This record gives sequence, C-alpha cells and structure tokens, in this order.
Amino acid sequence: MTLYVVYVPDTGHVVGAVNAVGVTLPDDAEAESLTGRELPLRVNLGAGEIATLPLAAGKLAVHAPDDQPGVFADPLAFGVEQVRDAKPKPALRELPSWENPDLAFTTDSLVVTLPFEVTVQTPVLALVAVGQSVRVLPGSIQAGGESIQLGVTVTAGFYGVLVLVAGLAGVLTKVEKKA
Amino acid sequence: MTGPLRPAFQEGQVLAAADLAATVAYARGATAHHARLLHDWGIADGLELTTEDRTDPTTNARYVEVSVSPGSAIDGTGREIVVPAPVVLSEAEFAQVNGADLPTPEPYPVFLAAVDRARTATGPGSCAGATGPTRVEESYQVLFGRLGDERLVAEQRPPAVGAAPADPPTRWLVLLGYVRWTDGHFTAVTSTARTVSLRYAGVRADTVVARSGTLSLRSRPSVQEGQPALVLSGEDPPSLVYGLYQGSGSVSPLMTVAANGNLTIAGSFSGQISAGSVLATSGSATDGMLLPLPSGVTPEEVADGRVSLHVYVTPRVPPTPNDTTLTSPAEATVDGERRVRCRVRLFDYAAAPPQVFEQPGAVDFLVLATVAATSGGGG
Repeated sequence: MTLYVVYVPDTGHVVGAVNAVGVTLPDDAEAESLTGRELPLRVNLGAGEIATLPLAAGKLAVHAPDDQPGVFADPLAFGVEQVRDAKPKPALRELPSWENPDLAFTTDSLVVTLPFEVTVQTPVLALVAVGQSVRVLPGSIQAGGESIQLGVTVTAGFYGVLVLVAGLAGVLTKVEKKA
Repeated sequence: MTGPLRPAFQEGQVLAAADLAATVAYARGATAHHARLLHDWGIADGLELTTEDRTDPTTNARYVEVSVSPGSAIDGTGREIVVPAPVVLSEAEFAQVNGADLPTPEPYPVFLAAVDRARTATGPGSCAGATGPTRVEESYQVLFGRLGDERLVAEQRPPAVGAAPADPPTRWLVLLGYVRWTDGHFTAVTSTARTVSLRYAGVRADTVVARSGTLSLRSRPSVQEGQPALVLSGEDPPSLVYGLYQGSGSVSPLMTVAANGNLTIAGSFSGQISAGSVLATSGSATDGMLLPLPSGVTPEEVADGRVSLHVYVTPRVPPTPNDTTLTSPAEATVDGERRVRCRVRLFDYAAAPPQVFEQPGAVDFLVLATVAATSGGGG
C-alpha cells in the first residue's frame, strides 16, 4: 500500500494524503488525479458556517513518500523536502508546530507574526475565504524579519484562513477581524 | 471496353508477328492483373541499401559506398521489377539531382522504377531481314529524389482494373530507402525519414488456408528467436497460440486458446470488468481528497453508470493533546465526486473555560466497484 501526498511546492506543506490497497499512480501523476480540479480545505467559523479554502490542483504536486501514519492526523504538520532537478526526498519532514499562531487582520492586511526571526528569506502563502471568493496572498519574510503584512481588506467578522510558512507547520483556522 | 483477348490459332494459319505479340501480351496482362489485384505493391525480396566504408584518398574523409542488393519488387501497375545483381549507387547521378543543395543532415530518397530496354536476340536472324530489336529486357532504373519526394509514393494511382501493361511501362516509384550526402559522398543510409518508410509487398485474401494443418503468422521472413508468432493449429487438440519463437524454432506460448474455449495467458490481464465482478480497494484519506478507484476501474465507467460504487467510511480518531480532551466526528462522508468530507470535534472539558473546536479529519475507507449483469460489462 503506497502513501501518496499532495503538497504545495512553493512552501513544501502537505495538504492532503491518501493510501489504498492495490492502487498505484504513474511517476508523473498530477495532483488532479487525487484532488479533482481543486482540494477544498474547510474551516468551521461557528454557528454552522463553514469556510472553504480551495487549492487549485495545478498549484499542487504529488509525492509518494515513505510511510508516515501521522500525516493522516495532521497533514499540515508535514513537509516535502524538495531537491532541485530531482525527486523530493523520500521521507516527509515533520515541521515544528506553531502554538497559538499570531494572525491578525488590520484595516488593509493580514499580519502574520512568527514566534522567532527567520534567518533566510522564507516563502509564505496565505488564503483567506471572503464570502464565496478566496484571496490568495503569496509573499515572503525577509531574513532577520519575523512578520509579514499580506494585503487584504475585510469587514468585521470571522474568516477562514490558511497560512503556510515554509519550515513551520501549516495553520488552518478562523481569524476574527474586530470592528 | 473488351475483356482480355486470348489468341486462338487455326491449323494452316499464317502466323504474323502480331499473333505472337498478342500471345505474349495476353500472358503479361494476366500476370500483371494477378500481381496488381491480389497483392499489395512493394518490395518482395532483397533490395536493401547496404554500405561499405570508404576513405576519400584526397581528403581522408570517411564515407560509404551504397549498393542496392539483388531482389525484386512488384509495382502498383503489377509489373515485377527484378534487380538480378548488386548495383552500386552513382554519386555522380546523385549530384546531378541534388548536388546544388546546401549541406543538410536530412536524408534523400532513393527509388526503383521499371524500364524497358530493347535487346537484339542472338541466334538465327529473320528471313525477311531485321527490322528492329526482337527482345525487350524488363529492366530497372535507380532514381534519386529531392528532399520530400518520398511523399510522391503515396500519391501514385494504379491503372484501371482491366488495363494492360503499358509500353513503355508507366513509371511507378518504389522507395528503396534514403541516403545522407556530405561533401560529395554518401555517408549513411536509413529506411525511414520524415515518417515515410519502405513499403513491402502484401497479399489480398479473405481466406488463408494451410495444407499442413497449422497456419503460422510471423513478423519476419525467417524464424528469429524472440520474435512473435501466431499459430493456428489443427492438431489434436486444436489451439490458437500467440507466443515468441525460441532458439529451437518452436513457439513459446504467451496466450493459448484451447479447443474447449479455455484461455491461458502467461502475463497479467487487463480490460473491461466482466459483468458481475466486484473490485475493491481500501485505505485512508484526509479531508478533501478524492477516494481512489479500485485498480481496473476508470472514472468514465463510474460516470456513465457501467460501474456502481459502494463506499464505506469510518472516521479516524485523532490523537488528543491531553487526557481531558474528548473527540467526536462532526462529519464523515463522501460526496458524489468521491471526495472525503471529514471533520472532527474536540472538547477539552478541563480547560478554563471549556473549549470546543473542530479540525479536518481523516477516514478509513472501503470502496467496492460492481458491474451489473445487465450493464454490458463485457462478460
């Protein structure tokens, strides 16, 4: 039984996993075969409201890593270590957890603040569900920095947010924009 | 238009040259009709472009001397073209056609065509004195084409069904291969260029029978180890065998159909799912992923109803951060796309205040794919 994960190449985060008896994919399989046109990640905003954050299949990749049962419990806590001009490393990397992530909306941005300063330029990808639409907010934190402002304007309320910072466990949560 | 005219002779008839010519023409016509209508035109035997390494004494450049090996072909008019001895290709004749081209790695086509050459018979002459040659050699000529002329081969049209052989023969190009040309010499040969390959003679037949009781089809003129063969055997018991030739010349079966209909194969089988069969897969998947289909089942078969899916999912219990956190599934299902929808609710009753939160979950699944007997699954 082969484990397959789909991941975001920009940051390396695993966003979905599947294994099945007797099912093998070709080496050049695309994520669409496992996710359809998009992979919808969902966040409960409360009061029965669910925010959906779809990741386009074209922006995802497939990897068949060594077995890692923990990836089914929390896929965002694992990363794929990519190698230039070669296949990714066979073992998934368990990413450092990010307790109580500091995510906050300002008047015109989503501020992501890390618990430490990064030593190298660090890619960041955030998705914010605003009603029926989704804002995709790519960026990077410069070496020596610890936060980034990603431009987005929202009204007061709860929003589903996915934040992927390279090297840290991904965060899928709701964030309140206070009035 | 009349049919073929067969000469008939009467006792005491004075035979004119036209009578004898008609006899020959009748035979030629019958042969051409047979070759044209019961065979596909092409190379029948030999006629390969072969090379021998040479060195230019003035430049020390290496090149090859190209020859056409002896053989025969049938052209599209039904004319048999025989090359009785090896023929060395002339670089001078090639240069006359293509010598002005800029240097190119592209290979040039080489053709064979029928040609008649008048010959004088040896032996006693005519009582009336010679008025012309009394023999015609059914000869050949090797022609060099321009780049791209190989496409002319497919554009040739055969004569009408009842047409007699033309005199002189209609020019019909039989592709022999290609030559590469560098600095005034041939440097290589090839059998395919620009998607146009050699054409070999074929047979037109609705029935093929074997007198020995065993009919074999093979992909090469001679038996070669490792090459495929199809053998229809009328031995006791009869069988149909597909296999590969062994060194001994026998066929090692890969697939055998026995007289009772039993099918035996040496490899694996894939194809349409037979009616009534059930295929299964099981595993685990996280929220949002599509459940995989059992091996051999395609999404199209599911979409058009040939295959029905039966899906059973069980939510996985996630690890909890402490002993005071309880979990319960908030959602564990699969939608019409086969997409997993699983959320798990966690409740920490010891927290102050008590906390309830949700997170994406994962499921263990079992997928059964069934083909109804009435759905035409190929069974």
